[in-house]
Amino acid sequence: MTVRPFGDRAQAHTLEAFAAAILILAGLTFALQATAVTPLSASTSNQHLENQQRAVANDLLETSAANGDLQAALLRWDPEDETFTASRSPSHFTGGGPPNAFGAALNESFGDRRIAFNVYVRHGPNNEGETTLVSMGAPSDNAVTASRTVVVTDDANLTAPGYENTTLASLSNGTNEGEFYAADAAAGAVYDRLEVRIVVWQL
Amino acid sequence: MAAVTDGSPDGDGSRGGGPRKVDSSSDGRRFRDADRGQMLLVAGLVVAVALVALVVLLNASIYSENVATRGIEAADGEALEVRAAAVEGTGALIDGTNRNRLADHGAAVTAVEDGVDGLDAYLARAYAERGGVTRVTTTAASMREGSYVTGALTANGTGGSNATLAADVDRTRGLVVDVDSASLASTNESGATADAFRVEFANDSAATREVYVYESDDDGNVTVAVGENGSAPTVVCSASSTGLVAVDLTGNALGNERCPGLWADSVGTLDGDYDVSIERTDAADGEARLTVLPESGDAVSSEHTATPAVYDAAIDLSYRTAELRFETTVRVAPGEPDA
Repeated sequence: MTVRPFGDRAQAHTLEAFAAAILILAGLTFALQATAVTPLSASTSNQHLENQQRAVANDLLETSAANGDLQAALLRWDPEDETFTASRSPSHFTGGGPPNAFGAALNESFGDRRIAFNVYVRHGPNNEGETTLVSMGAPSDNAVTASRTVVVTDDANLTAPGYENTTLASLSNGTNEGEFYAADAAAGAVYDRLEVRIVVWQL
Repeated sequence: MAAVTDGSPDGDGSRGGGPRKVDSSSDGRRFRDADRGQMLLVAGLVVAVALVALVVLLNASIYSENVATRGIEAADGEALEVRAAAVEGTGALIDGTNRNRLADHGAAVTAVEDGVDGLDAYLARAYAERGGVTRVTTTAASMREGSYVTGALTANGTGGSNATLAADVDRTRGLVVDVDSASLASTNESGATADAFRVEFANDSAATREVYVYESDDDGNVTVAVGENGSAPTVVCSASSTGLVAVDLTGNALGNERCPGLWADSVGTLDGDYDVSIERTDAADGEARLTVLPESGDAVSSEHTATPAVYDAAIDLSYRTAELRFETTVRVAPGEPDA
């Protein structure tokens, strides 16, 4: 009777151990690589989504400003109730863009694609005032912003229904009832420079 | 208990012995055949898996290298953004100042200068937040003076149904005619010369270009047609509309519709300076407005209201960040056609 020579198998066991280790590592690597990258997961591809959203937001502001939609949306203000939303509360929009061409563009570019957006208007002599036009909640960490400045003149008319003949100057000098959200901040023919800021993030 | 037989003549049990002998070897240190086969299999598997893992790792590193070295490209357009903001700000300022109808050119020029100073301060604050330094300047010498003309579509007491909006014009910008679509004459291409309201441009050598605005007697659309020296016009565009519709001659638009070639095919083909007049004003209600640069002097004569205005301004713009230095001079004349 002979004792079985276990020494024979040592090399095979070592190799098997290595094979097992490599298999586990390969499995882990594969699993990590195959994990779905969601828009909210921090990863390198995320940067590209942000860039894309920023580009869309910038282009949207640019085109809306060029065809006058942006200025019309900013002037859609009810001076007596001091609200963007007629008599409803709150005074800004929460479920989507305002009911005009700029709002339709926002909804088409972002809302319909499950991308949330906030729109703020900064105004005043030192740009310190801020009025909210659209607020859809608190932005995520991956939100991007785009901004554009729109110049409004003293003789610009409001676009809110019922106030189409009200100019900004007539509100600031008291000729017409009510108040615009921005005060007359600039000298001469310019009323104020309104900086529109869009914050967009993936839901 | 395994049966172990000693004294096998050859060391290789697989060849010399029976099945029982396979398990035995002369010295117990040699591999059995089955052991060797397992060894080969395991070794082959190890090599294969190692190669696959290597490929996956290599691919991952190439991918992340590729992604990491792609440009972020977010701040590339910032200089253009500053330029657009400055141009738009100055344009709105010039037009707003002109609409204020200041008493003389000096006052208008001063107002624009002050406004550009305000714009400079505003932009400097806005871009300081992003680490950029902006500077926008202009001088009275870099502005050209002209007239801002407005008038209802009437003869304005000239006796007939025609009135001159501006005489001896070198350049025109922002020529918009707001017409009440209900008041337009109903006619067609061949009848337009006799019946339709028109804006006429006539140069010193008596060549004329006409832009007719009428209601099509076919489909009821507001129609814009361009004619040459009084001949039958060609329709450029038409749109259905009610109420006031803006015919933007310099901006090539009819209401919200594009009207390609409206300016280029009419005034664009006319040599030298020209007179702008509205004719057959009984065939349309509404009003016209334009800003013009006179051929000489700083004002044009008009049978409607012409007030001192700034026609255009050249602004010096510079924008500087840690990585970028951008300087340019831009001439700002909002609503000026390319042609």
